[in-house]
Amino acid sequence: MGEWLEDYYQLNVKPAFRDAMRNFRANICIFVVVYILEVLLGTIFIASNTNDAIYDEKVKAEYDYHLVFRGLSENSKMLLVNSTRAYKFGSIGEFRVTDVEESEMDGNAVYDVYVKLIPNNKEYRDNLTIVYYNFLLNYRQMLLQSNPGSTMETSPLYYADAKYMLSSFNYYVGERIAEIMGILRGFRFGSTAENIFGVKVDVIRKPFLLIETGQSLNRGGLLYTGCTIFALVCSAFVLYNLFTIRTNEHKHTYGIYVTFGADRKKLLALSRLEMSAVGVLTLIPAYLTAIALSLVIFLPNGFAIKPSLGSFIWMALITLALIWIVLSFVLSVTARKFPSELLSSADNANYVSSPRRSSSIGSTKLTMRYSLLHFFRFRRYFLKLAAATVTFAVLFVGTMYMGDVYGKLSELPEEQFTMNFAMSADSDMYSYHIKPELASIEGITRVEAAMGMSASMLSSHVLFNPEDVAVRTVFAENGDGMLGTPMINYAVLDANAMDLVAESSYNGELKSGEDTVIFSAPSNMSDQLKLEPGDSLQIATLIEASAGYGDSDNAVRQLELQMDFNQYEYKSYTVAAVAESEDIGDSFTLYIPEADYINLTKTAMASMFRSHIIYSQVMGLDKLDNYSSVLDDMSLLTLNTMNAPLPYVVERDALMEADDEVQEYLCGTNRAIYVMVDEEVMAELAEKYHNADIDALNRGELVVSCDGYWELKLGDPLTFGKMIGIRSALSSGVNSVNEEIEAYMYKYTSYNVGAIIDNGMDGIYIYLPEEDYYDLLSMDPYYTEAKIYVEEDLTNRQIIEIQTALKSSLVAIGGGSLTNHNTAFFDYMEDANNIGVIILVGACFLLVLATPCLIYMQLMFYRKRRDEMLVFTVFGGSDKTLGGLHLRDGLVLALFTMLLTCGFGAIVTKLVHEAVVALTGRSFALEFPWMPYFIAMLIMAALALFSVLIPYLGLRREHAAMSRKASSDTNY
Amino acid sequence: MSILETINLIKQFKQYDTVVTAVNRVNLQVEPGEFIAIIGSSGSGKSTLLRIMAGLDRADSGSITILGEDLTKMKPDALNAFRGQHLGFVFQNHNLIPGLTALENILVPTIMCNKISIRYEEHMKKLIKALDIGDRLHHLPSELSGGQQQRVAIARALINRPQILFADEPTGNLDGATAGEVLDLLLSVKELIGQTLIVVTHDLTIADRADKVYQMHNGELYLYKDQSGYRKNSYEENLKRMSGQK
Repeated sequence: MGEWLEDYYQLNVKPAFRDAMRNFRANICIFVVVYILEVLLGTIFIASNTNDAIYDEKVKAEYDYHLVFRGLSENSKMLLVNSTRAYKFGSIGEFRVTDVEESEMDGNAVYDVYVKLIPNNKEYRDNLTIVYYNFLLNYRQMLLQSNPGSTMETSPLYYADAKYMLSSFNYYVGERIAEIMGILRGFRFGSTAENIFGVKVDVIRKPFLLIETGQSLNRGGLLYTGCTIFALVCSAFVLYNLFTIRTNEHKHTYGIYVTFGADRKKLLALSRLEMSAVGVLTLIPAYLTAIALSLVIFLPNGFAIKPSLGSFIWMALITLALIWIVLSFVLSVTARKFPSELLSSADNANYVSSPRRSSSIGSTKLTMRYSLLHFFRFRRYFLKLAAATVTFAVLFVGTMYMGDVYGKLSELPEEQFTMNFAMSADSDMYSYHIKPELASIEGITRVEAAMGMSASMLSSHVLFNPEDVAVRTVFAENGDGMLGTPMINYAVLDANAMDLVAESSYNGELKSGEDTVIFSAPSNMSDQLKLEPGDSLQIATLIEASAGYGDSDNAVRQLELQMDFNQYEYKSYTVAAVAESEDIGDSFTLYIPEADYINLTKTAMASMFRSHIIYSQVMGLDKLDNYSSVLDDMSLLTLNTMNAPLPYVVERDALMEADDEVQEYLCGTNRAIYVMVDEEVMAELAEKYHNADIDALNRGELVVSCDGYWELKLGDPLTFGKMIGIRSALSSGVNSVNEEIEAYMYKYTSYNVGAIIDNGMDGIYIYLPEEDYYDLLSMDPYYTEAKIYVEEDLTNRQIIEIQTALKSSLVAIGGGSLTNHNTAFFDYMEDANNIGVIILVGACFLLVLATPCLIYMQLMFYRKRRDEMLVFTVFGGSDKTLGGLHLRDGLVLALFTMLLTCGFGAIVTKLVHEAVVALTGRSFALEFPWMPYFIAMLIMAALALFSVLIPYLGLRREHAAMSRKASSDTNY
Repeated sequence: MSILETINLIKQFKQYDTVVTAVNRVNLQVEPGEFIAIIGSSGSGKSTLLRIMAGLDRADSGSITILGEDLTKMKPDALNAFRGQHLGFVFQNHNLIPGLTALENILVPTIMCNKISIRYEEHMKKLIKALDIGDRLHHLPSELSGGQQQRVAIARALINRPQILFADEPTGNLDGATAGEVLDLLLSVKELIGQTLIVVTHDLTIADRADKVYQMHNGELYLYKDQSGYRKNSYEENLKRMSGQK
């Protein structure tokens, strides 16, 4: 073994280090790149380590429980409380109840019980595991089964301590293996199995990487995992390019090695060891730099960093692994070539596309002068160079944009809790009961609810005077020179709205009135309008929609078509106040009088009505089935610009299932056509249907026209559902009545059938008096959720107390659900990790990486052309000529990379924008990152010129020597 | 038994519409210990033939058997290893590695074949003495004269004690006096080790000293001289036949 090691050292390691040191000048760019990559990886690992340490510290300070049982009865609570005194797991440890919170559900007291697992200090890790599993075994199943509706949750402290159960890596691997073994052995999640300690436990699914929404709060861990992956991909890309160039340069040498017996393994070993030597030599300086960078990230916010041996080892291992893997790919082709091919590679053939065609573009032959156009002649090389450079520049732009967006998003105040109401609340209910109830809880700073309707959904828009519009991005001009925009959300101007606006910055007076509105712009759109208090605007209400135009995906273009083809009625308003909200968004908000809001929304397309009719008529099952299938076959359609075309279907079991023995069903439909009857229409009906009692309308009854399948009789009741709120989202378009009843909240009104006519149309037509028509089909403003903001720097205990108080309030106002977003905790961790700085550092890394790559490629390239320069000199080329050639190269390269950066930078910015919108769920306008763009292009241009200058200056020194040599050759 | 045998070797180079047959059905047998010279004008294909025989390039068809092994059937790694063990090559332009000293260049084959140089110490000393490069071992190639570089290249080719040494115009870049010295050294080392030597050259003075001389013309190989002397007539006859003369 010793001899083998000695031989290996002599044959491989020693030559590798010797070559690495000896070729230091030639490989300096590789040294720099490997150093930068090690710094990047080292920084990520140190930062990740520090983040984990901060997280663990914070969690242990904030959370004093591992598990919490919610919704337990008094008996179950007492069982747990009393058991702690009696139940110890031998000498290993015990559990303890740390807190009990009482609340009310359905008139009964229910308890949330917080439990901490306490192993003995000796052999903490193993004992914690056993305590946990024994607790689950003895209590979990029993408590959950005997308390229907109760749940058990694990706290962040559980996940922080879970690492100790088998160490985090082993824990993860062990859990995955247990999962697979469980599946292979036939255990399903929810069944019981034996764990590795021989204890029977429930087979439960563990979250991937210990991350699950609401359970582990270590978002920083995810961030660093993402950074590591990003760093690995960048590193592999950079190293691949670098090593490819290096291999090309060494092809001749490899040819000699292969001539004298080197096989593929030998070539790989020599290259890997030489590059590994580079990696090893830069390790310590890189780690020290990484420590310095980590200080920049954490120290400003007062957190100490936690470098460790582990992070150093990981940095070293991953760098070496990357080098080895990338070299395998790079050398795989080279190592298979015959020596002749490798030996004859010492020319510039790699860089030109086709020597025979270098002096022609297409079919046009160029003169020799233009053949010297290097950029075209070596186009294959320059394209590769440009691709590598532009990639980094574009990634830099994208990263800087992401940092800018993140900075803006992180400044927005985030709610600690979201409360969803079981029943939607109208304005009075919300303003005078709900909001004061919640705001009175100690620790809560603000309660905010929002509701609104977008103009585009109503086929509406707002017109502004041209002088009030500064930027026309979201505006279209109508025929009268006014500028309209569909990017408006309408909301009711009431006390709640004024409170909301008062919290942002505004000009003017917060007041309401008949023709008064308040205008609010999100912070990213505030520069698009020059609106002042006292200015006027017009709100458009759709009168008649034309079918003469198609749809456009672009909202502004769609508005142009609408303004051209539809008919609108406009009403003027005066702007009382202009506000700028802290939010980022893609629409303005216009607070309008409540009456106008209702009036505006009544013209919504029928799909927004979500109204339906339940009729108490009883049908036998056979008849109902027959009816349904007939109607399906008929697929009736009725055109009505106000009510939208819809097929006509009957559904059974709309409200409740009838008795099976009787086989009777209640039936409903949401596809009736409502017709408003004013005096004129009533007169027409009376004249046309003189045998029908049209006057029934005046008595509060209905006139109905339906086909024979309905079997309606005079006096039959029809119950109309009017939508008053939303419980859950439904897809747009036509849904079934059952789906609507489940998703929405309704107010029901019954009418009797006063007259039945036959208007000759298929389907059911309901003729309603004007007032009832508007009442049924308008959209009252409603509130379904509230966002609750709390004071800063609250402890988790205090937040739990607020949460308990909110739950009680929720019961008092009719029920619903409460979500704790753990905002305070996340804010703390975000401050600690200084994510803005991390993104900035990452962006700078990309540019810093590009520099040595670009310079290296150019150095190698110009070295190849040394002989060419000598020939030029011998045949009369002057300093000026050669300098001109190089300068031209540099300028063309700079221009080319800048143009490519422009194009691809815009694409990447758009992609980042879409990704952030999708991930965060927040909508905001795309703001082009001009500054990072400008910086990137400036740096790329400088790099391009600089990378041409360095080799040129070197060549110029040689050129002077070449000139002397040329003249001495002449003498010779 | 022949140490080297080629049967119907063909090598063509294609460049767009042009096909150049560099080696055209060459059949050659070399006995152990022979000194073979291959002469011919520039572009006749002799260097190509040499590289193919040494395993540095691949023929399009035909076979090459060296020491009983068919090179055309070997996989690349096996071929490289075989070449390192049994064959040596001297290039016309030396092809020394610029960043390594003369001694390090000489030891390159030992590293490539995973052989510790120390086990070659005696042999290396003999080579160095025979080639008279002892005082230049720690110089870089750029610090050596042309002749010294070529001697280092020869030492490199011989360090692994190959059974066959191929030399592609070993004196092509040298002046007359130096060329003669290098040739003498080559032959003395050949005598020392007892290997087979195959040299490609356009220098007839080298050919004079060979056991056999072959002439390469348009890819075809003709025996020009053997132990019984030159066979010029047969060459002229071949020329006439090809030109249609009688």
